[in-house]
Order: sequence, then C-alpha cells, then structure tokens
Amino acid sequence: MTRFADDLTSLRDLFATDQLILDPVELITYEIDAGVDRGCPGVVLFPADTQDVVRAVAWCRDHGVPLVARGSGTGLSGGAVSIAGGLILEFSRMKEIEQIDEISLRARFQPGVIAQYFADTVAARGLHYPPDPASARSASLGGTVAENAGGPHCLKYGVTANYVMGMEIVLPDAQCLTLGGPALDYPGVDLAALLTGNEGSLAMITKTTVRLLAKPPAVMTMMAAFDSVDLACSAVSAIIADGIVPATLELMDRKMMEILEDYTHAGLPVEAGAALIIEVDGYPAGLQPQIDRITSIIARFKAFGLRCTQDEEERAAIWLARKSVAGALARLAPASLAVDPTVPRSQLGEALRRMAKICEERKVPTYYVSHAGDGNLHPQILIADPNDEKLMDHIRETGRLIMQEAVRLGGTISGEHGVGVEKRELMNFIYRPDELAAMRDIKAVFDPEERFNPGKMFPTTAPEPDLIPQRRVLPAVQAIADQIRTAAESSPPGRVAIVGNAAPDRPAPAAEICVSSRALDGVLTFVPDDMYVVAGAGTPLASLRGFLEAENRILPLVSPWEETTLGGLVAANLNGPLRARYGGIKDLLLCMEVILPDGRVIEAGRPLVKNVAGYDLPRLFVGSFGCLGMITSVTFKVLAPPKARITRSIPVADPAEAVRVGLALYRQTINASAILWIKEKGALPGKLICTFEGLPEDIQVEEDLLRQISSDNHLAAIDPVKGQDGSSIWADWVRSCCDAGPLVKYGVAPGDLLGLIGSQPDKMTTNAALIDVANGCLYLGDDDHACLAQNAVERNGYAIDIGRTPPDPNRIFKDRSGTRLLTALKQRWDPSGCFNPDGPLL
Amino acid sequence: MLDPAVQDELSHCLHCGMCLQVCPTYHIYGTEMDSPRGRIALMRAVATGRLKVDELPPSFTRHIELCLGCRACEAACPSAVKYGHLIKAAQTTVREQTRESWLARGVKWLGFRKLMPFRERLKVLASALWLYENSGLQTLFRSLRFMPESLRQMERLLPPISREYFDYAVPAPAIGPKRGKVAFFIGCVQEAFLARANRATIRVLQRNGYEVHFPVGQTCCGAAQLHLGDLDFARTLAMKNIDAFLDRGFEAVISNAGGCGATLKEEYEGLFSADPAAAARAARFSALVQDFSEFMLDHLHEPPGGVVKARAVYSDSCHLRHVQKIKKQPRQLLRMIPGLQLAELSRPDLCCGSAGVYNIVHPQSANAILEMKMEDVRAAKADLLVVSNTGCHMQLIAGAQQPGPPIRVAHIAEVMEESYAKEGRV
Repeated sequence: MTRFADDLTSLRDLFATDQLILDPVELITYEIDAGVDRGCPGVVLFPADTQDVVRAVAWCRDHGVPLVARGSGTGLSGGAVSIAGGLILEFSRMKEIEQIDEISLRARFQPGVIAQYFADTVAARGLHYPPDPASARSASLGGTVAENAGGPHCLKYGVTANYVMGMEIVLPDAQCLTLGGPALDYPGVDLAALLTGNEGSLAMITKTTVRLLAKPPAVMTMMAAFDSVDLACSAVSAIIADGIVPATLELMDRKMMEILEDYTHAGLPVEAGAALIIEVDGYPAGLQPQIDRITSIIARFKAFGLRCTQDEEERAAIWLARKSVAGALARLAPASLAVDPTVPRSQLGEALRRMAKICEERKVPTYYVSHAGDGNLHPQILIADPNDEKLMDHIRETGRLIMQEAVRLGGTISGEHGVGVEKRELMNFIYRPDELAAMRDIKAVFDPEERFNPGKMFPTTAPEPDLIPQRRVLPAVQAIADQIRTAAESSPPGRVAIVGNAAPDRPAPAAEICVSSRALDGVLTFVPDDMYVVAGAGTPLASLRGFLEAENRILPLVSPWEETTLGGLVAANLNGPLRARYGGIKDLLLCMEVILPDGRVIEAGRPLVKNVAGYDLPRLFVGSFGCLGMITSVTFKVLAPPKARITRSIPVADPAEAVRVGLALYRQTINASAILWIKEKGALPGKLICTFEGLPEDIQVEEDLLRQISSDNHLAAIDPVKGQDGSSIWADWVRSCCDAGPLVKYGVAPGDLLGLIGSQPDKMTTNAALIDVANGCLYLGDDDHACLAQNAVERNGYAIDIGRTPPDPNRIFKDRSGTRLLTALKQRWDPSGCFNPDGPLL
Repeated sequence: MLDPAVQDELSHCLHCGMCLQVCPTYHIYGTEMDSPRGRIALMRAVATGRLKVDELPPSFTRHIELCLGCRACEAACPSAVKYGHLIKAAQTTVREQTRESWLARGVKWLGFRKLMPFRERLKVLASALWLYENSGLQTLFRSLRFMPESLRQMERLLPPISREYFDYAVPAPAIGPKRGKVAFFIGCVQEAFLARANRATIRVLQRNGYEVHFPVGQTCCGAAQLHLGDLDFARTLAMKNIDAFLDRGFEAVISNAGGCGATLKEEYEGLFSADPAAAARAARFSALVQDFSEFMLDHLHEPPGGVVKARAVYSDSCHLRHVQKIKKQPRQLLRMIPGLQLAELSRPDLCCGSAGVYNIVHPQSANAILEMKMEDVRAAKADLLVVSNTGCHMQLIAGAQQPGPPIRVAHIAEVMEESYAKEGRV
C-alpha cells in the first residue's frame, strides 16, 4: 500500500487535480454499485478523452495497478466494484454523442452518455435505439455495452449486442484500436461483438458505434389477467408460436401485484393469479389486428380483465406499476438481492414453481417479475438485514440454489445483469471446464497480467465433479475430433484442412488431413416451443429451410448456392438482403458445438435468447473461416413466417437515383426485407427491387410509401413481382455472377454508397452490379477492384470476394488492427499453426 | 445521523443510482459524493461509526453542505427514500459542529431573525436598495473591482425592485359574482422585492370571484430558519401563521411561492412532533394551503382571454414540483393563454441553483447550475421565463442578464394578469 501511495505521486503529475479522487472519505462513495458487493478503490480517475484513458491504462501497466471501468455504477453484479483496490476509471465525463447519422442509421457515442438520454435524443429524430434496461435513466451506455444490457423490449428487438457495430478500445497494454465500424459484416471475426458483454475484463471501450432503427410510429399496451402463472406462461408461448412478436411480454404474479397495488394504486388485477403486460408496436393500422389476434389467443387460456390503451397517460400508469418493483420491495425490507436467471420460455412456469419451493423451504421471502417473452426471471430475494453476515450467506446460498435450478431446466445464471463478483462461482454451474478454459484463453490473450477488472467473471473455485453432465458428443463428431487431436499431437503436427461437406477424401496435398462435415448432416433437435433448431454443421441451408417450412417456421438466412452448409455459412458470415430486417448470422445464432484445433469439443454459448454469462464464444467463430476451430453443429433461433410479403420492381437507370430512393425507404420503413438495385452485365437498364414483409396492414402502409416516394422522384411505374422476392433475386444474381467470374462485395455505411459508386461511375455501367441499400453493400462482377476497394476502406468499409470457396486473403481489403489479437488466440489453440493454415484469419 | 429513525431511513437506500441524473450537483461535478446516493453513503459511514460523528472530516462537511435540498432525487427514487429528512439531519449535525465566524452569525441573526419575519423592515431595506438601483450607485458598485466576491454575488442577485406595494389593510373584493373567500399568504422577500408577483396573484384571484383576505398576524413561513437548523424560531413563526389563518372560514390559504408553500404544507406538522395538540392544528392548517396554480386550475371561472405574444418556458420550482408534486397545473394554465406558445425545457426537473440561500453560500456551484439552466432556456428559444417561486425568480433574473437574446422573467400570476389586462378587463 505504501508503494501504491508513492506511485500516486506520478499519477498526480499526469492528470489535473479535478480528475482524481484520492480522499479516503470521498472514496467511500465509490465502494459499491447497485448490487451488494463492496470494495474500496485506491483512486478514482475521470478521463476526459481517449488519450486520458490511454495514459491511465499505461500508468496502471507500468505500476502494476489493477483497473476497473465504471460508468454510473448502476450494475447489479458488482461489475464496477474495485475488489482488488487499485484504480477506478470513471467515464462520467466522457459523455458526448459524437455522431447521429440519420441517413445510415448509425450513431457513435462515448461511454459516459446516459442510456435514456441517448434513446430520447435519437427518438426525437424519429429513430429507435431499443435496449432499455430498467436502469436506463441513470445507466451509462458504456456500462450497457460492457454488460450487454437487455430490458423489456429485447423480446422483439434483441439486446445491446444486436446493435453494437464497432468500437474504439484501449487494451491492457495501452494500445488503442478501432474494431468494426459503420459497415455491416466486416470480413473476419467481429471482435466488437465478442467485447460486448466483456464486463470490463478485456478492454476499455472508449467509443461505440451502434445501428439504429426507424421508430415504429405507434404502440399499444394491453394488460390481461389470468387465473394462474401457468396459464399466463402458456398464453405467452401461444402468442409467440402464433407468429406475433409483441414488443414486450411482462409477467407479474399475484404476490407481486398485491404489493405493487398497495404502493402505486395502478388498478392491477390483484384478484388474479397472474397478469401480463403486452405491448405491440408498428403502424397504427396494424395495432388493433395484433391486439385482436392476441385477445383471441389468450382467451384460450381464460384471460380476463383485459385493459387496452393507446393513451400515453394510461400506458404510463401501467408501466409505473411494473417499474415500481424496487420501491415497493424497499417498503418490505431494507435490501434485496435481484438475480436474473433465464430459462427456456417453455420452462418458465416450472422454473417459477421450483424456485418458489426453494424459497419457501428456506424461509426466504421472494418476489417475481419476469420478462416472460424471453424466459428472463427476476426473483427478488428480500434481505431483512444486509449487515447480518449469517443471513447474507443464507441468502446467497438461496440465490445459488435458484440458479442451479434454472440451469437444470436448460437455463443460465444471468440473462442481463452479468456475472461480476456476485455470480462468478456460479459459472461452474453452467459451463464445463473446457468451455471456461476457452474463455480464460481469451482473457489471457487480451489481458495476460489480469489487470482489467481482476477477480470478476471467472470462478475462484474448481467445479465440483459432475456438476454438469458430460456433453454427449455424437460419434461422428468424436471421430473428427480424434482425427484433429491426433494430427495436432503427432510430430511434426499434421496439417488439417476443413473441406465443408465435400467428400473428406478429395485430392489433397500429401501431409494434409481433410476433415469434412459430410457426416454431420441433418436436424438434431427442433424445439418449437422455444423456437430454436439444432442442426449438424454439414446440413445444407436449403434442406434446413425445407425442414422448417414444413414446420411453419423460418430461418431468415439465404445463400446463393444450393450446397452451402450451415457450418460454411457461419464460418464465412455471408448475409443477404434479409439482414436489415432480421439481423445477421451472429444475431440469429444462439450457440454451437466446435472442435478446437487441439481436439477439444466445446459447446459455445447456450440455446437461449438471453445469456450474458461469460464471453459470447459463438461470436468468435462467425466469420472465422475455420481458423479457430471446426463448427460441428449450430443452433439458430427460428421465427414464424411473416403473414404477408410483397415484392415490387421499378425500372431505374441511374444507380445513384436508386440509392437515394432506397435510402429514403430505409430511413422510413420497418418492414423492408430487401431494398436492392440490380443490373445485369452490359449496358442494360437497372431496376429497384423492394420487398416488404410482416403484417398485411403494415405492408400496405409501406407499399403506399414506396408509391409516394417513387412518384415524388418521377420514377416509372411500379411492377409487382410474382414468385420471387428480394432475397431470391439477390441469390440468383450472385450465383450467376460468380459463375461468370470474380464477384466482389464492398461494404460501407448505407449513406456512403453514393460516394462509393460515384467514385467510379463507369464501373456501374459496364459490369453486373447489385446494390443492397439497407445493408450498405455493393456487389460488382469485376476483377480489377483495388481502386474501389481502397475507396471503401477510406470510408471505414471493406471489400471481399464472394464465391463458393473461401476468399483469397490477399484480395480482402479492410482495417486489420484486430488481427493480432486473433492471431494470438489461434497461437494458444493451435501453436503449430497447422489447423486450416490457409484460411484467412482477420 | 445516529438517530435510529435516520438510520432506518438510510437503510432504505438500495444505491440503485436512479437519483444521479436528476441531481444538480451530480450534473455539474459528475462525482458520486456530490450525488444523493453518495451523500447517503457518507451518512451511512457516520451511522455505522466508520466516520466519527464528533470529528467529521472536512470533505464530509463539504459534500453535505453542497446539497441544494431541491429533493428532485425523492421524486426519482424508486424506493421512496425520504432524502429531505436525511440531508436535513446531516446538515444539522454539520452545522452544530462548524464554528461560524461572528460576522456570519451576525448576518444570519440579522437576516433570519430580525428581517425576514418583519415585512415592513424588509420594505424599508427594499426601498433603500431601490434608491441604490436608481441613483447610479449600482453602476458605480458594479464597476468597482475590489469588492469581495461574496458581496458581488449578493449584489448580482438583486432584482430590479418594484415599489408597487399592495395595501393589505382591507380584504380585496371579488370582481364579478363572489364565489368564495380565500386567504393570501403574503410571504417576506417576495413581497418586499418582487411586489408585482403578489399584486398579480391577488388580482387574478379577485377576477375569478374570490374575496381575498390578508390575516394580520401572518409572517414569514420559516423555511430558511428551518433549513439552517433554527428550529425553535421556525416553530415560533409557524405558530403565528397557524393562529393567523386557522378557523377563520377561508376556503383555502393561497401561497404563490413554491418554497414557502412546501414548508407550510409539509413541514409544520413535524415541527410540533412533541406536542400532539399543536401538531394536529398544524396538520389542519397545512391541509388548507394550496399553491396558486393548483387552486387556479380548479377554480378558473374566468379564463384569461388577452393575447400575450411570447414563446415561454416554465421553470419548475423544485419545492413545487418535487415536494408539492405540482407540475401539470402551471403548464395547463399557461397553455390557456392566447398567443402564448409554451415550450418545454429538456431538463425541467433540474434546479436553477437558487435553493434558499444556497446561491449566496455556494456561489460557484450555484452559478454553474444556473448556467446549465440558462443554456437549456436558450436552447428552447424562449423569450419569457415563467417562475413560481421567489428564490428561482431572483436567481433567473440574474441568469437572464447574461449575454444572449433578451429574456423576460415573470411569475405565472403576472403572465395571467397580463393576459386579463390585455383583454381590456379592468
């Protein structure tokens, strides 16, 4: 400690007095976040900009001082608590929204911006940033990114990770890097996706780029009462199975409603066993039909006391009740432990029952409110006296038992709060040693000296044996794993190549071992209630789509090629026009099974829509081109098919004009699943293709909008397209182009498309060209691409070859600053570099 | 802070942080110890014995003193922590320990005991200051660079004084059919320094058919004395007011200053906790008190009809908004005025930095908060800033003098009266 005190003198030299808190009395206020764990920092530092962060991190590096990032200290798992003393880097003064791009629908912000302020600011411009954790009024965006925050609206809109596109980070060695950016699907591994939810343990995030949506113009809120929690839970599953995706589905049980009603007098149906708050959004015309449909579905579960409103005041009253949980509980006890296990939606009723039993047996008063739509429970365990250590142990043990039960039901220990200190020992419940080891490897690559947020996330104790059942590995997978292990262990190590689902014995160089996913073909599990499907990596996408079609479900991914396998699709991260409407592969992928280069078989992630326990391993393998491991099975979430879909075509000769019209549509629509301009090779006229899919009423509104915009721009007549949609048109075009020669995909922010195509307009006239406006992509059938590729990179974009085989690394243009981290990770898993050595690792 | 009731209240804070963004000092400093949650953490450190109550460290004192007591955090608190009680307890402890200079004590004694309770003395002072403002002395003073900053700060807050004092000797009759009988709480500083606000308030009540009475025994509400820990004197003032207004057949006691109203409504009963009979009388008195806009919205028999061309923003008084929970009423009243376009501040819940005598005691912090408020006002492109509390009124007049497009500051009653007058009504 004396040493630390000496060191502080040098810190004082580096920063202004008002940037440092050193007074031990003042430091008391930085001992805790909104959770229950404590730790006193030695110093709190307020960086003003990235340079300050770099200097602070360098100082910590040079003086061996641990460092904890902190935003507003509203986390619930002790993530921002400095349990090892050291330095707290408090981001509250880095609070600038640096950019809101209303054309590309992107924003870039510093970590100290308050989440609600940001959401309100973009909403005032007709845009929508959906993550809405309950703490949004105080939480910093940096915290929501580091913890991968969710909230009631993530049922429909997903969590923070689904919006993060790029970051500026400072690594523990004080290097500042930029990862990702305003374009979608940079070639290679998306490290920004991996870092979302890293809990401050890998990097300091100094800037974040996110994507925004057009704001749904109307919202309707409904409250329904049920006789029992079980009936309410069944109603939730039925609503989702029907293909309606409400913006929120919140569940309260009777016990909770009674105390909320005492407190808020919001008119909750306290006589009922449970109630749901259901919110739908979209165009005004589409709301009532959705509510009618929901009403008829929940009638099957004896719903009663329906209350439905579009009135902002009444809506606020309903939500006030829901959001007053903490206040109402505070009247019953001075503290409570808020935990957030998440189970598969179908298990929600069972989970609540089992948890209630545990708490009853242990005489621990507990209340529940749940984001029922995604199985995210929030048991709130009351603490009569937070200073009573014996009681606290009893409470913690109860929390542990609850979590264990959630995991037994196929759930996870944290849906949104993060692991932090609070749940670190529970990581042994959910992940097997090999999976934790893989996460520790990531930590070691980023932060070998464990300087960033030490003591968090990873368990300090060894797991009890057989805590989690051994993973049942299919014989076919084990056979491949054995082959890979043998190759890695032989001397010299054998070179391993992954050949998709081609025959494993295809002609290959002498020393090469070819592993194929051919034997891994077929759907392994389909869980209609929880809306996910597990399939072998060798399954062709086309056959999975066929399977799902028979089940009246869709997986919104497309490949131009019949033979594309799921493993190949994920490894190449190829997304089509549907991405703008439904998210990309990384958003639809829940988890996967992977053979690491040393032959270990791990399950990366869990089949849950919300899981923030540990690093998001599946993201590491999306776009990895097989360099980090071989994917053997993938789990995708599936959706109900849209109720209606229309596709329209308009002849537009000038690509710039098409892009302008496309951008206007992109900015104003919420149902467009393709906005393309497409042109064959030669001086043929191009056409604008638009597909809208969703509710018939909503589609109608957007078709009218299309008509309006095209007449404003004096475009020719709109033709309906029959038998095809934007995705299939894209797929056919890409396939035929690839057959004819090289096809290059350029990615930029949508708003940069005009500049990109304007830089070499003649290329658009002579070559086959396709512009995917909503996704910011230009596809050109063109061999000589260096110049345009350079232009794309200057716009923070990229260029990559698209084809049946992995791209030539030398023809990929992008900023490669993150590559060294991936190389280091590969080095740990594949020291000899013999695993898929030719694949591009970016 | 060692009082079990305080300790119990401290334990209700779950340190969730929902108070941070509404706290004006957190806004300007961005530090935990200048937030409600942080101050509670410091109080807890005393309550648990980590900090010794009889030798409180200076940093403790400083952060406790820096709280404006605007109580915006109470409105934001999901756990309903009574922060107002906590900070009062902490500030009282701090003040018991700090040995003030004889000058400071003298000034306080003079101000709080010998001036504020006496309306006529205040008016004499106001007249002297009126002379100062209108004789060129002010210009001279402002050009003198060597004046101490504390004096400069006070001088800056001096509003242009109007001496249109109302004659309170007889009740003001209803204009038109009489609809009721109300009493008006005159107050102290507002009457002396911002006389137009009171005149307008009375006039608007008259216009709506109310006979307005001015009970003679009334005095200052006692808020300042109470907040600075002079409980005995505050109790004396409270007793005088209760005696003056209670059981005299008034439909309501109208207060037009958010801070005074909050004290009259929320603090009086607690002052008499040792005497149940007096407490009961205090409670009955408090139940009679209504804020001007609260009363007017329910009793607006004659809506104002004259055009007031202005782009206005309403600046909430913290004690009106957070303590009396009155925020819709003044806005609704303003929206009724023809020609007046009401814009909203981006942060209407944020204090203006006045907070009683805070802007005199902590000028640096108060000015930073005022600057923030004025930025918000300018961003709303307002040319009329409507207020509902004396402290805010003076603070914002000072704010409006900053460079930028001209902004008029007026009490909501003045704006309403302007509309009536423009309509051509007498």
